[in-house]
Amino acid sequence: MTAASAIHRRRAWGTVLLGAAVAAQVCVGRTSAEIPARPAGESIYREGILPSGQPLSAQRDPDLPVLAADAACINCHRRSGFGDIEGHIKIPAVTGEYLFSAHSFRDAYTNDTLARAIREGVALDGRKLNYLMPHYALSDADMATLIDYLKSMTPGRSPGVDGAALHFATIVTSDADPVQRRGLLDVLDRYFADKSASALSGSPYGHVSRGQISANRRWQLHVWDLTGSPETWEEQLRARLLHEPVLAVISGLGGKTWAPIHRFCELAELPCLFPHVDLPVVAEHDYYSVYFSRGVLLEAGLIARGLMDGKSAPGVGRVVQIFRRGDIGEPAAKALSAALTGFQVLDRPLTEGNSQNQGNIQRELAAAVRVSARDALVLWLRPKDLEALAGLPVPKSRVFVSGLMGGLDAAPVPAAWRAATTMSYPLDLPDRRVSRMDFPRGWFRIKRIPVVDERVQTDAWLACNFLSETLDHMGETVNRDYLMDSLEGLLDHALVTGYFPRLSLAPNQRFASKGGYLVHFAGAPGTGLQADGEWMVP
Amino acid sequence: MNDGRAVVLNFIFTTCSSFCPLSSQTFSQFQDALGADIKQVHLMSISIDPEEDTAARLREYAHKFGAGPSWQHYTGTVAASLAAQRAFGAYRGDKMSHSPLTLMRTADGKTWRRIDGFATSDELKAQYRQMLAMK
Repeated sequence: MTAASAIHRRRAWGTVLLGAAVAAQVCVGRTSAEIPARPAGESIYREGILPSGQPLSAQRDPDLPVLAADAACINCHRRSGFGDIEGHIKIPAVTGEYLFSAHSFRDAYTNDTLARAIREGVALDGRKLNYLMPHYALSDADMATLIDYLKSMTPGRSPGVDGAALHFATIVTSDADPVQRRGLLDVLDRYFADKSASALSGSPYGHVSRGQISANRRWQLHVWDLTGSPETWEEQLRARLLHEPVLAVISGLGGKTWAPIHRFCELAELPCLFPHVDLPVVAEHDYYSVYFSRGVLLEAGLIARGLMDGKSAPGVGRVVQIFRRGDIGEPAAKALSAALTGFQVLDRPLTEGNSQNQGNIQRELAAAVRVSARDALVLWLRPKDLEALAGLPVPKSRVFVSGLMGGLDAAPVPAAWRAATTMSYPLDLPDRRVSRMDFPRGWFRIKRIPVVDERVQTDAWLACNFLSETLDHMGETVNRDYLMDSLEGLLDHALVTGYFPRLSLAPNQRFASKGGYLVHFAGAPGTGLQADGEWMVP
Repeated sequence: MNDGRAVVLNFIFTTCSSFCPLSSQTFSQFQDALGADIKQVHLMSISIDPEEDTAARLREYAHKFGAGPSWQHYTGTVAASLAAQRAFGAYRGDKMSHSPLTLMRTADGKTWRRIDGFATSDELKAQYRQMLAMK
């Protein structure tokens, strides 16, 4: 199968997963005859649904029934089929290549002995399988369908892996900040050069580790700069992936929307690891994209908590939100409205684009920020808009500012406004992250990387570290699904977590940092930040 | 915890798809098997992934396993969850390294019994009855 037809096929499968709305969008111009069905065994394995549509059923010894999705193989053997380690329990791989080969510790399974293991929980040597393994009630036909699927899971060489290199892409959208782009690429280029140098020269001990595909291949970076409007990005990505097959997308930089990239990666079954985006896509059952946090959507949750517990802004009856149409503050404002109960919410959108002159911005803002003392004002605004508040009368109400949009510690909130301002801060506090930040800062210094945007560059460096550690763990099996499954398990071990106090993933968890602070400006000129309370998880 | 009732306790997280559902299913059966006696027991399931397991998520999880009024699910700060795990010798470094474990005590001040590994609801019931008989 060519890469093009593979993507075509993945797109079609994805339409089933993502629902009717997206299906309608991506299937324009295609007839239903062009959409191949998903293999029946995949529904048994992943969803616990038999080809008849009936739920898969099983029993755990002695009397614990499990049904449908709860009985699906994926729960323990994972999407990749490579199994897992849960505490002291080793959940074995179930890919065809593994099961139907002989190993030093057991013979090869046959269709019959595997069917017995699945139905009766009995291993080749007659031992009982672990208590965790249910005994499945499967007809001969359904068993054959499932076993065929397991055999199909045997991985060939993954796209993006050749004899000499592991290929990765990073994606930069057309509306991303060019300075941040340069900073991000400085980090990635240097990290990739170092990985490649160590692969070519072998280990310091004079030999290359056996059994690790990543150890003796250089890392090749492909920079996919997207141009034009977001509607055209998926097509651009399809063309890039066709010509430059990659194992995964690493890091990356977004602007106002990341949705087309998220959708593309999901449909192409392409891992997209930790892009630097402040408005990620929240899609509960999507698998291939992982993010550092929910970004501005997390900030909406933090502000909602602050308003509803009444401590940050007591006595508020109405919440007035200001955002620019088309910017990431718009969906953030929507998320805050949805999270608030017991408040009247009034949105005052500003015109799209903030390239007007300062006088126009100020006139627009002057009307928008007019509120009463019983209101709370929420500003989903970029630094240029915040700067324009200078000279406007300070509202009598409490003012909430999005830290990610406004520039965090460097947010240009005018001095007169600072006493009234609370900022959402979905990162660890500056003084608490100092020791963790020694690692990236030291690396930037030693590698002579100009630091133009520390947060963007730290995120890029962290993403590379996690990719490197995950590949080391994967050994000889370099496979996209196994990359995702392994990353989920390994991230909890990370001690160096940059701007975040801790990072953690699991099956169905795609946002590694879950909380943040509300902070206020403290100190003489109002420059330092002080937390209003403890770390919150909305 | 010290309200006079017996305590039967485990550690779970809601996105665990392997053995937490099995432990919770066992608790559910144990809850049902005790009948009216369940009122003398406090079943506690403590999240080891408290930032993901918000109160709303835990409620949904508890509902899925038919948790009645005697079976409570607990979440809180990371520090509080770690303190509980350490207090019961259940901490394994991170949530992905956890092991099945049940702890049982018949009343305040009594000794805890530790059951490592999978226990069926019949085994939990037998242990519970035996501990009551030793009172």
